[in-house]
Amino acid sequence: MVYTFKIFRFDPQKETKPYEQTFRVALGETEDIEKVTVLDALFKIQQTEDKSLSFRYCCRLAMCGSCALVINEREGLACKTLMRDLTSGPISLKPLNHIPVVKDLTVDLRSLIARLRKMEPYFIPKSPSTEPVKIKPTSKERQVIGLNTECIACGSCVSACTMMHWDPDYIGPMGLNRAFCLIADSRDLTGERLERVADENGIYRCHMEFNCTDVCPKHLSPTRGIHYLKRQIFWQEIKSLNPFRTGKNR
Amino acid sequence: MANGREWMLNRDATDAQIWRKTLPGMWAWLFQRVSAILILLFLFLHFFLPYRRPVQFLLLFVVTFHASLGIRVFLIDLGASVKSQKILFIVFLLLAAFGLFFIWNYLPLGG
Repeated sequence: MVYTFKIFRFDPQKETKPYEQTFRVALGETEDIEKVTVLDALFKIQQTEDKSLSFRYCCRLAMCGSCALVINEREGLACKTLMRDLTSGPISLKPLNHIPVVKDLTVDLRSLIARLRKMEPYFIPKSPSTEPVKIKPTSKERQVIGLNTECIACGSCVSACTMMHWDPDYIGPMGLNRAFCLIADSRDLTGERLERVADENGIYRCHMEFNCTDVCPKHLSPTRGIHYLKRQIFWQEIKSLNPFRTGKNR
Repeated sequence: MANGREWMLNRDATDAQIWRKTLPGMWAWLFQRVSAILILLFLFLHFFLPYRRPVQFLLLFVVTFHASLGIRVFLIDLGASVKSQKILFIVFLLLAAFGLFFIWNYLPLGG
């Protein structure tokens, strides 16, 4: 079966503005068409049509998040999106929104990492321990965090969030989801992390559009994490209003 | 770098395909923002043209939809499951339509 692809092409080093290139490729001749993915199609285009086409991939198992693209105006992983699930018309492939383009479909992930750094994305233990801490899967804490620790940092949520366009300094759903996983973890010394995300470039920039939740290829909900953080801040502020509260944090 | 500047893709609001792919949560947010602006407009009209039925109806229309979607936001803020957001959107749109019908037909509005 012959498929038509409209692929975003742009080399910022050489060109002044992007353009769209159309490719027509036959898929399913040697492989089972039911299993052909968008990434397979990209390989075929690169091998048979244009060797200069740039795209990123690594694991091919929807585990690394390298191949995230905007496929028919919706974010998704090229290795996970099956051709049979796409519409019969031309298939549009674009790089992720709100992330600098390196070339064609490849984006510069340093901007994502810089956003993550704003909220100290690493585990800081409350007390040093050589033994693993036991947290039961049935514990309330583990259930609150849920699957949100499974984020593969593909950047789909950052691309789908329209607030990233209006506020380039916004930490974004990916960073806030990471902050949620750490803040909700009782083993972590949260420190100033909650205060860091509690401003106009943090959780209050989320306007609850649910775009991040709808496009996440791992079916996580950064919005849920952001609302958890909002409630944490709310209760912290309520507690600080208590005139009978004593202690050094008052 | 293009012309010494980073180049990144943004959503193009003039592209019809973008609007076809817009998801329910985004529509809910857009409806509420647009209705907020319309409330200001119709409230302004209401001050200068009091007791005009079309103005009253339009004001009531945008207020009921804005308030209804506001309750949806409030529930999710308070911890309602994010998985229910699409269902809540439809439910609260229906509640707004019912509320509009009830208020307009059964409550005295000075008309």
